[in-house]
Amino acid sequence: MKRIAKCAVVSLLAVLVGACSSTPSYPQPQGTEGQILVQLRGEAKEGVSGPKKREVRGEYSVTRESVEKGANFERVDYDEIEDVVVVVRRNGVEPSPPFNLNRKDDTGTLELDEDGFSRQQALSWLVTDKAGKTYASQTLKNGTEAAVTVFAFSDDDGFEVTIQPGKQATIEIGSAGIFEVFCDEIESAHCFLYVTGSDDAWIGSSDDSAFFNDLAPGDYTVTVYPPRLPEWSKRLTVAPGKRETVTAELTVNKLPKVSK
Amino acid sequence: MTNMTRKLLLLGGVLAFTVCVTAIVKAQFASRHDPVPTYSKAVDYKDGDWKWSESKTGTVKGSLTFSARRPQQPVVVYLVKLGADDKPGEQGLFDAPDDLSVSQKGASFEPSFSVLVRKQKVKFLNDEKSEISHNVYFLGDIEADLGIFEQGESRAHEFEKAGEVSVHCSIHKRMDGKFYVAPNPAFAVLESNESSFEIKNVPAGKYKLHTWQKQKRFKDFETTLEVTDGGTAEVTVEMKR
Repeated sequence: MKRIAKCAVVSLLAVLVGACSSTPSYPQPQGTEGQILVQLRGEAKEGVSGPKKREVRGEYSVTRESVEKGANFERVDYDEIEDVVVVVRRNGVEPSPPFNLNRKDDTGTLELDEDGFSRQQALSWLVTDKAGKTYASQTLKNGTEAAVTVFAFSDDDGFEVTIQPGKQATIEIGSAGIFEVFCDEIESAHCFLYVTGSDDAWIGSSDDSAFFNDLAPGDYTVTVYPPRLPEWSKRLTVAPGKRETVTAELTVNKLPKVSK
Repeated sequence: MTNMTRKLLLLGGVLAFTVCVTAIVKAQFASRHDPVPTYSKAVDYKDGDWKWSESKTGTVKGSLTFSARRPQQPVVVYLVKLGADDKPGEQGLFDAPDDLSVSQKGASFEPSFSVLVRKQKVKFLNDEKSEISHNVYFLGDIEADLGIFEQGESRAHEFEKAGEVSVHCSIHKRMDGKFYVAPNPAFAVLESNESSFEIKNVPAGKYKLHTWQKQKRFKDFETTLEVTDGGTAEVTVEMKR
């Protein structure tokens, strides 16, 4: 009997530990500042099933891979949309320099191979250095066997860089905006680079949530930019010591339906 | 006058009347149908399709210069007709060119890029060899969802509005395309080896000339120009950063 009780307690503890580890914990709002939690929910088109996958057992791991006929037929996995960008802007307040030089966010390197960029979207933050120069930087790596020219242009700013095979380059951009990045040599290479002056921007997968802490009370607009899907936006008010939680639906289901 | 003579006179009268009526109808038709605009590497218009309200036409001729390495992908030069207040006005009435058919075989759009004219219809055909469903939706200046369609089915959409449209399938991860919808048939598509263009038979009036780049590398250029009857408006399109 004792053994059964011991087993039950151990199982209960295991369940509790498991639940705690899978649910991210966010600090509670403190004092006069507030928080925004943006939960992301990808939703496939009505009547369409998710990607068909099979388990592949390795020596030490189990992974899942697509069973579709080829790369072209690979389906969108709405449970795990990668490279979703979330930006929170305080209404009526434009971010202006100097921007935080000691920002610790690192969005990583954007790699290029024969199939295109390693990511569909990237995010860079503007910083202001000690000399007063404001810029955002992004590292690009050329994983192909030939030199490539990568370029982008937003409304009034852009960059262009030639990178030798196997080498990398860090580009600097002087203003905020959405840059559509292309490559001369690889027509299919296409990526969006979001450059922001706001501290409150996030990039990640739709199976995660974007959490913004220490926000001054006031009116905000949350905008979610999922790759290949319509933008999602919502205005909300942050109150002192409170957390606002919103769910952004990443789907084509809300587009105007046209059928002829 | 014999019966035969009377018959011949009657026949001649009827013939003369028919010729007169035909001439009047032709003259009426000609005054309402302007010449067809022609431009480099664009859609072919059949004679009489162009129904702009004005009949006097001229030509817009130009060249493109680039301040740095030029794009490897097409640049579109297009005209927007301005109203009396110098703002974009009515673009005139014109018959759209033939429908564009887009194949979806192999989970890819073919053609994956095209320059269309407002009012043109695009037919997406699910011509897969096996039972594979596709969806088509648009993002950009025109946003719409054409729904899911099975193998052998098709969906058509008429583009009422001008602008840039990215085309996707919500089921397949890499199934993407792009269209640019020109506001009227007065446009030219310049490939990477072309740097001059000529748009003929443009109805007289004031226009704003714009550029659109498939892969944006420069600031888009715009200038105002006037097309006069029988005249040629020359322009240098400077693509700068």
